[in-house]
Amino acid sequence: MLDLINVAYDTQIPNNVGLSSDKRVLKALEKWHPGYINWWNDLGPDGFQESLVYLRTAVSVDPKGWAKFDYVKMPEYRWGILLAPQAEGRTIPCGEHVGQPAWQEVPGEYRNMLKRLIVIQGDTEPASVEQQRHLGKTAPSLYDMRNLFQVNVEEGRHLWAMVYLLQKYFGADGREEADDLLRRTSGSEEAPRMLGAFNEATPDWLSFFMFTYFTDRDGKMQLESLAQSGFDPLSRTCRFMLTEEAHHMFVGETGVGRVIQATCEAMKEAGIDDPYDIEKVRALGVIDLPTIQKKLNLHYSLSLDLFGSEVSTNAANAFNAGIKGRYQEAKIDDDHQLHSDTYPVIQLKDGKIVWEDVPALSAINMRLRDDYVRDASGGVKRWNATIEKTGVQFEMKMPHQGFYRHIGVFADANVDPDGAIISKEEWDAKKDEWLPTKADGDFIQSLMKPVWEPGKFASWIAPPRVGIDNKPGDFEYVKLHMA
Amino acid sequence: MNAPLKQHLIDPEICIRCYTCEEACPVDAITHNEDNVVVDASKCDFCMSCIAPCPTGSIDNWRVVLEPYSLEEQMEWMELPEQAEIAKPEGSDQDGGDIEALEDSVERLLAEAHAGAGGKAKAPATATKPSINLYNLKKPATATVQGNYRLTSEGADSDVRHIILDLGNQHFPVLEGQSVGIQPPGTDENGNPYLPRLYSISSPRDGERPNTNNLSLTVKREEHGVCSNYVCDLKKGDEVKLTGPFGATFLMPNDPQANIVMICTGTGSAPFRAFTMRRQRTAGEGGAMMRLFFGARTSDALPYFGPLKKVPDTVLEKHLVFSRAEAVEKEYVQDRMLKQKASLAELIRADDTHVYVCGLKAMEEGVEAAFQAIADEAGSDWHAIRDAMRESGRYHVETY
Amino acid sequence: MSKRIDFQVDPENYRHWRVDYEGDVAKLYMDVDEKGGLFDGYELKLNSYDLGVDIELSDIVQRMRFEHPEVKAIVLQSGKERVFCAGANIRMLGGAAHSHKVNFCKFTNETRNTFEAAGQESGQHYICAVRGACAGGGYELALACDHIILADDGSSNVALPEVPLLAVLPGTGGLTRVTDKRKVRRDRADVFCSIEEGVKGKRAAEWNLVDEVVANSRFDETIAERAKEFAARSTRAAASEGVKLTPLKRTFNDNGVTYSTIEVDIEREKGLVTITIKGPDGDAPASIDAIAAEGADAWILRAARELDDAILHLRLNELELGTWVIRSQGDPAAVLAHEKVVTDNADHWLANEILLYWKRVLKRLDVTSRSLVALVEPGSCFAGVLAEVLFAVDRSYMAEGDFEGDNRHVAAITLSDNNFGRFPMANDLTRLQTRFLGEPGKVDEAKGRIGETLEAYDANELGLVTYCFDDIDWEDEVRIFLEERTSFSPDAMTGMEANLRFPGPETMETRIFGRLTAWQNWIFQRPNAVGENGALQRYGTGVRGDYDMRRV
Repeated sequence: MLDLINVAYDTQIPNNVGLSSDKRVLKALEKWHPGYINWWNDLGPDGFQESLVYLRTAVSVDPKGWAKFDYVKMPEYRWGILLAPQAEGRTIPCGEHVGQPAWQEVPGEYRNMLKRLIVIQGDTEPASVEQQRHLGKTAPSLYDMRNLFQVNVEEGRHLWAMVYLLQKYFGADGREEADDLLRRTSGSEEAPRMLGAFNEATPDWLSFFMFTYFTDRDGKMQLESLAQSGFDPLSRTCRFMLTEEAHHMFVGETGVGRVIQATCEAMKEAGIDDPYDIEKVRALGVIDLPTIQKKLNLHYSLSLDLFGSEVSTNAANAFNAGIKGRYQEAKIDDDHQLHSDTYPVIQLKDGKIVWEDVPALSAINMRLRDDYVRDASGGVKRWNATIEKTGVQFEMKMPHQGFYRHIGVFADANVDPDGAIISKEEWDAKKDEWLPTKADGDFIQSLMKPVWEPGKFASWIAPPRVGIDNKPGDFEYVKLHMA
Repeated sequence: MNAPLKQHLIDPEICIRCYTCEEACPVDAITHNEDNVVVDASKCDFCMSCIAPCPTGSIDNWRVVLEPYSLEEQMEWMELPEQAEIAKPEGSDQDGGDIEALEDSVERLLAEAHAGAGGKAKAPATATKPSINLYNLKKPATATVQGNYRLTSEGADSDVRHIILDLGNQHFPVLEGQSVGIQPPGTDENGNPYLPRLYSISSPRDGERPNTNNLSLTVKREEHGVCSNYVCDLKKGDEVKLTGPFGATFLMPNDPQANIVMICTGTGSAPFRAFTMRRQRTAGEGGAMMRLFFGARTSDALPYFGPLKKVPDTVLEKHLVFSRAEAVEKEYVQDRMLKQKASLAELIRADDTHVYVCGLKAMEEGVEAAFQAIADEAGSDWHAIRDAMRESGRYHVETY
Repeated sequence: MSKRIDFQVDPENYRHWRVDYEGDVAKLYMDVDEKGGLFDGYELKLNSYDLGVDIELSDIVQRMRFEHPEVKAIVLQSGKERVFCAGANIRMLGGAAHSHKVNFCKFTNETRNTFEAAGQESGQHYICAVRGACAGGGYELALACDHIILADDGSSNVALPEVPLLAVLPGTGGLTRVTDKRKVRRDRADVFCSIEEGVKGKRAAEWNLVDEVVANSRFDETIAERAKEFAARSTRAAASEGVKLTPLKRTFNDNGVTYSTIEVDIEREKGLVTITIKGPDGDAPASIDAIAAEGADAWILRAARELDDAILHLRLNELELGTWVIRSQGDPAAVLAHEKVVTDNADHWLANEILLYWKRVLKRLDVTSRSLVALVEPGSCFAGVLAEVLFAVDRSYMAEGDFEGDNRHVAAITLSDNNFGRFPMANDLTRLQTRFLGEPGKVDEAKGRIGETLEAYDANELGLVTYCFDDIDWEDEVRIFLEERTSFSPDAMTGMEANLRFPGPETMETRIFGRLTAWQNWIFQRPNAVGENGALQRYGTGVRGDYDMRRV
């Protein structure tokens, strides 16, 4: 019997999908593999390919097996193909086929739609590795460096997961798409990544934390809805990816939280009460809270853009086809078809922000975005608890969803963080108060000095409360190899 | 008054609400509301499935309580409550699992160490009731170093030491298999005191020699280990702060005829030294034969190699295996177990056999695989056997 | 749709396009304003277009010819990141009446034909540079260009997703140009037209869906090179200065429109409209340079522009006026004199453009789905280019002899050389060749009478008109005919006329206007596309079309 829990190492590619008996796909993957390794070496973390990193690797897909920690050189990380266990008797959770047995093979009529979804998802995974490739050099601690690399190798594995689906289920086209996933490159002139946010560089660690908190959370929401797919292999892949994605959420939330904590503690120690006394705060070697708020504003609004238009045909099609569900579809109490339901969608009518009920089916994106906003607000609340605990008077806020948007109903409107519609002149006059300026970026950049001694942390970030794998504070998470 | 019980909790200040634990929990004991993720004490069976998937470590929290915190209470927490002062527990054989310690950090260490058994750890039916937590960080016991001896030869690449601590007049009752906590003095660079480390006691309950109020530890020097270096460097006459004793499950049965199979590597031998000495002192050569599978790189690096050789084979069947010995094919404990499959197959079927595994986490997998193979070949279901043994307090894992 | 759709736009106020002129190369950027839809209820996302967008394009193409004679190559590009053009706006199509869809497609087809022909006939070559998604009508825009460059960036593609996505056809020449122009192998065309995501990269070139695929980094460079090559290859006559197409002078009222050379009179209750073309009132300009100096005021150009606008206005805005009666008034000799200045200088760029413009206006008339009737009355001036109108209409009635109390000149027709080759129809034949398909000798016979004033008897003998009636019968016969005509089913009329107008050989153009359009319009009527549960209606709701699986 096939062991579908434990990872088999009988092929070059660790997997729990019986790859050794699927010669066609094995061959395709083995052909793809060297290109992947080249990609990793060329565009993966710059300068640390020889270092030993304390990483977790999944050795099985049951909860006990997928967090084995050990030192490993990143290029030797055991990327593999891991699907969550098949749920017995699973049915299509939504759309016109609701209740029918989940597809184990690609339904022909939805082949292209599925392929497109997988390609778009797949394209984001390597993109963020590329965006973050230079960050290792300015890591504020070995702990953070290790977390960065863990995020990177897991994004790499997520690419594997998508490539497996393409090669297994989409024939020659799928193989071509798999090759193109390695051909496109973040920020490349030649062949850029598909989504805008994934072509921007991640210039500093605060951006990285904000990216993992806000942008990876979009990825999480997308995975959540793909995990609800009626195409079972996609659902199983995404379910397993989600457990890894949680680590990225963790890096983002605690990363920003620790930056905030370092700032507040330094302010208290120096007796500074006014968080807006930016010069004084910055002199302490920490990032002032208003600048952190600006970064939050930027990353939050860029991430909202990733949800696409509020009202979307593609999303409606995918839902109705049963190949992409809503967030926690199974826990929603309705008919899962939405033929006659409506959903309130934010609109801009005659210069006013209004809510309009539209057919729920066409508002799938809006709904997912609402879920995202709720999900993202939790961490902000906890950051504020951190601030409050130190006694500093400041509150982080998520800006209005119309603020600084480039896609959807607010694309052409000027909206301030509180949701007021303002004139272009007013926007131009105020935007530096709301979004990071070049000077803010330069200041943050000036703090980006590597701290590589075990147990030590840069001034602008507090140590974590708990080590990875319960390791002590001075644990050497990365054994650097400096040639 | 209710007997104290152990409760599994999540630290709301560290948790990021990713709900991965909720997905991982096989018994649906974990739920959440808008604010917190919470564990239902009436459902949680300490299977530890949620521990590894948690990206934050917030899931790994334990409290000893008289009345478990309700879900509603947990949902309102902004932070995890401190461990309340609880009187020394009397009996502890209720459903909540045996309480190993009253300190959260120690409880966590032990829970993790015992996780390899695959479920809630239980003490052997005939084990003596242990005392736990008589001393804590606020009120530690003070021991004096009576001796510090290197166990491995000077040439060996590991430095393992036998340290004898004299407890003077202090009441510090221990059982074989229990541990004590040592907190190295000083603070880390962030100004926090070092976390306490647990060490298994390697002497029997009545002391290194009968009726001495002392105990011994077996400690390996770790390269950057703050605590192990502190302990290994102790000199005769030095004072050490001790907490504990801890541990209420990894204990030996009092029945001298009970079969005992002990599998260990390195300093994992500590409790087994205590077990063996205890059995010798109580039953002489009249008890059931004990079996020891003990792995090391070379005989030089095997703690207690000399003294072990002197224990009669009628008391202890010794399988000392070496993975790096010259002129011998390398052998791990699981290899030897497989060679002994006939007797082991019979032993695990017997209902008075107690199995103990102690050593590095890495050994778990091999041991598990060996038992699996042995059971398979005998046509039995290892998981069923193991779970039954564990439920009756006869299967114990303590790995780190 | 009560508002009047206007085909005149001010180039200062384009909402959807931008043109940069760089010597003999023009860069044309499609950058559709999402909020700039002609009607409410849809947004022009992803560079999708509606009639309003196409009206601007048509205007640009027209002005390119007249106002920018120096331009020899035009690069058509997207002004947006990551999308070239998503094609016709689906929600617009879904919400539009059948008639609007048909008219929309017809107009866009005419515009595609216009810039497609520009390379060959007037030395302005359109080059399409595709980066980003180029789907449906977007690819049809590209197909009409002389050269297609596709960026090889791993995501730019060309696609005709109409069939799988919307259950309709790529109806703006798409299917036809794939097979007839680009000669894509039919089985590959079958694959291409049934995959939503289309084809990208090298395969697009292999299949000849595009002419070349170039690396993103070489994209701009290649565009520049190609533009230079095409400009060098251009046969366009040298020109110094263009002719400004000034705004038309026209007045709309309840009963019609008044232009300087065209009068449109509506008799709504009868379902009739009379279009009267007025001949030139002044002397012919002395030379082509004089025409250039007059510019848009020159009668021969002005009349073409005004007639063109009148046709479009009536076609789109006056659906219930099913029968068009076309008259003319003026001095036939003057018409011929004006025409002669351009004909004699046909190799002058402006003369060429004016003649080509007339060719297009006449073709627009050919494909107008109205009953077209010409009345050749006393005082009329159906001479030369205007006589061509008589061969475009479905029936022509000619007044015979003097009419009592009418002191205008007797009704007559005068042919010129231009009736024998200057204005071919879509089938590549002249209207007279088409008319006399069964008796080619009649064409020669007519040719022998060029320049003669042909009164009713001669015209009838030569077969140039349908009926001739004298003073006594004229009024009644014409009235009875028109009453009969307007009582027929408009569908049957459209079908009958469209079939009878284009006998003879097929060309790509006739296949587009005939076969492709007819199939498309059939599908536009079918429940599988436009029914309540059809794919087009359901587009955007997420629910798929519910098809009646019976083949018809």
